[in-house]
Formats: sequence, C-alpha cells, structure tokens
Amino acid sequence: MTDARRLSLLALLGLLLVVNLTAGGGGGVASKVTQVTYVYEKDASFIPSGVQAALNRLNRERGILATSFERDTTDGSGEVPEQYKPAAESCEKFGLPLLVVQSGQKVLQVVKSPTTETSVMEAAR
Amino acid sequence: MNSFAPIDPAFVDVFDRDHDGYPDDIAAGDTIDVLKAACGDASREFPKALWIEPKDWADKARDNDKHHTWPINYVDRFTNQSPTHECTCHALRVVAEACRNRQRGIIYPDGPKKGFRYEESSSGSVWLSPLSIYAEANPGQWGGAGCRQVLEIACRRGFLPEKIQPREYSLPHTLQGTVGSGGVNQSHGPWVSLSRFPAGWQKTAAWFKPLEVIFPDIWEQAVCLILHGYPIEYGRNGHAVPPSIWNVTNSSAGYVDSYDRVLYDSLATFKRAAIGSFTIASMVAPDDWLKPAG
Repeated sequence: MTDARRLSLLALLGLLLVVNLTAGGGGGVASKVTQVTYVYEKDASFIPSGVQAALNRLNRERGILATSFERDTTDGSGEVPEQYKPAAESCEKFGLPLLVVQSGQKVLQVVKSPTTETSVMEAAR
Repeated sequence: MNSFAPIDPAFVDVFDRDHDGYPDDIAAGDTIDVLKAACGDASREFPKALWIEPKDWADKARDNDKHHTWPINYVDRFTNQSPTHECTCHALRVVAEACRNRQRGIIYPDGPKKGFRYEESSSGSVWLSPLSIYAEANPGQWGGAGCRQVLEIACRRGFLPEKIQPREYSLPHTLQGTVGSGGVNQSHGPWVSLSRFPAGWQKTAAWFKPLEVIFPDIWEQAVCLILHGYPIEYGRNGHAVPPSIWNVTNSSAGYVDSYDRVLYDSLATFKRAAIGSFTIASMVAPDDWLKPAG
C-alpha cells in the first residue's frame, strides 16, 4: 500500500470514529430497546387490544421482551420480579397505566396510558 | 378467528353421558361463596373497569378478531384426559396457562392446534400438570373433583410443570400431565399419589400459582371477562370446561375441551353455568421468563 493510500485510509477511519461518537445527538451510540413493559392495575383498567397486539409484534418481529405486568404481581418468593423492578419504580413516579421502554436496566422513556398498537410500536423504536 | 361465523350445531352443547369428572353431588357444593372462600386472599370481585355494555359486545368481539386477543389466543396447546375424571384440572390449567401467556405477551393467532407445537411457545410458555392438582383433589383417582377443591389447591400451593415442555427450562421438579392419553404437547404416565411427588416439589410449584382470582356475579360479567381476554372455568352436566371465546352470531361460548377439540356451550347452558365461574387475573411472574422456576 502506498503512503498516500495509507493516509487516505487513516483519514477515513478517523472520520468514521467522529461520526460514531456524535451519533444520537451528542456523544454516544443510541441505546437499543431490549424490554417493553405495559404496567397496569386490573381493578382500574384493562389492557387495550391494540397494546396486546403490539406487545406480540415486538416479541415476534423485533426480539424485544415485551410483556404486561399487573402492579400487584409477585415472583415465587413474594417479591417484585427482578425483571420488573425498573418498571415498578417508574410507576411510582408516573402512575398507571404506563408503558416503560428499557435498554437493559435503564429506562429510556415512559408513555402514559397508550391505547393503540401504533403508539406502542412508535415508543419502542 | 372469526367470532361472527355461525357455529355448526353439532359442536354445541355436546354432553358426554359417560363423563363423570364433575359429578352432581360435588357440583352442588361449588357455590360462589364457597369458591371465593376457597381461594382466600386471592379472591377478587369483578372490577367495574372490565364491564362492557351488552350492546357493545359485538364491537369488542370485532376488536378481538382483528388483534387476536381472545383468551383462546393465549392457549398454545390441547390436552387429553381420556378416559380419566381429571376435567376440572384440565380446565384449570387452560385458565392458568392462558394467564401466564397473556402476561408473557405472545399471541397464538389460531389458538391450540391438535398435534402442533408453536415455535413461540419456547419463549416462556410453561405447560402445567393437571395431575399435579388432581392427585391431591381426589386421592381415590376416580370420581372427579370440584371446581372449589382444585381452585383451593392451586391458590394454596400452585401447579407442578409437566414433563413435556416447549423448551428445556431446567425445571427442578416436574410431573406427568395426566394419567389419560396426553399428546404431543402433554406427557402422560401412571397415577402418582401426593406423598410420592418428587422431594421438595413445593418450591417449584410456588412459581406457578394464581395470585388473583375474579368471580363474576352475573353471567354478563362472565362474558365481559372473556371479551377482555380472560378465560373462565365452570362445571356443568358432569364436565368442567374453560370458555375462551364468545361467538356473537350464536351467543355461544367456545371452550378448549380436554379431548383435543374446541366445542361450544349455548347461551342457555352458559347462563346456567356462569354463576360459579371464575378466572385467574394474575399468576406468579418469574424473574426471567426463560428460568420460570427461579
């Protein structure tokens, strides 16, 4: 490889590194959605059919863990299930029903009272 | 599924005279107050938020048809109890499994299909053993059990999972599903008494326990539960069944029968049986859906 070509390649790699660092508006790579949870209290509301359909599509089409969680549900030890702790904490702040969108344990966003398939699919983008 | 398609009368009010899994003397004891008491702290009144005016049932049915959100769309397998008297427990497992699958968020658009296994079942569907409840409800094996009995047992200590599962979940304790025929998605084996369950079984069963059980006071509330995706259980004419879809045209309730088939109860049968029905609103949820017993 000539020196000129080597320099061009290095410049290109440098440019790609800068683009990657500035992606997502300012300093990091956009977080990938891994989990979506619709949290509700069954005595106060039901899960809209469109929301249920969206959870199914997220599971099947995008491999996202998309589930519903009735607020009083516990695990086999009587505790809040580990996978739902971030969602349960979000509900303390924002109320129910609530759609909680996560990347790992990090809550990316919440949507209050979604009712349609489109609104859930949009939130999980 | 099309809840407006007329039902063939041959599939409506099919009562097997030889079936005696829910005998009349036991059925007489399954009053609504007794059923509520049976599940203790898990008992819940019908929530007002779930009421749908009968004039709006057709619209909700259309919505369910469009989105595949009938209770039957959360049932991913048939079971077969023939020739045993385990029906109350086979019906109960439909209600419990559908509840878990609804929580898991995966829809099975065609409902259960004989001899077929959905690939998506391996994402967290756990198949529960009716025998794990029946063995305690009726240690004599023959003669059936009451809805109250089996509900009380399930609420107190939960189900054991079956030996056949849609994936390897590393379950510490399992039990054959039935002494009857079983099938490709249901294990079968010899009778086993409660005292011979695998040592430490209670720890696993605790992960497959109902948490909240709703009791409708009138038959219209039972229809509302079905419209909202909750299958119900009731017994009538010697057999216990889990109505899981409402047919608008015929006003009849379709159920996943424990003989590898879907049948229907007429409105008259449904009205008579629905008082004394119940649904499971929530089941114990795992910390990880792929490690369902912790």
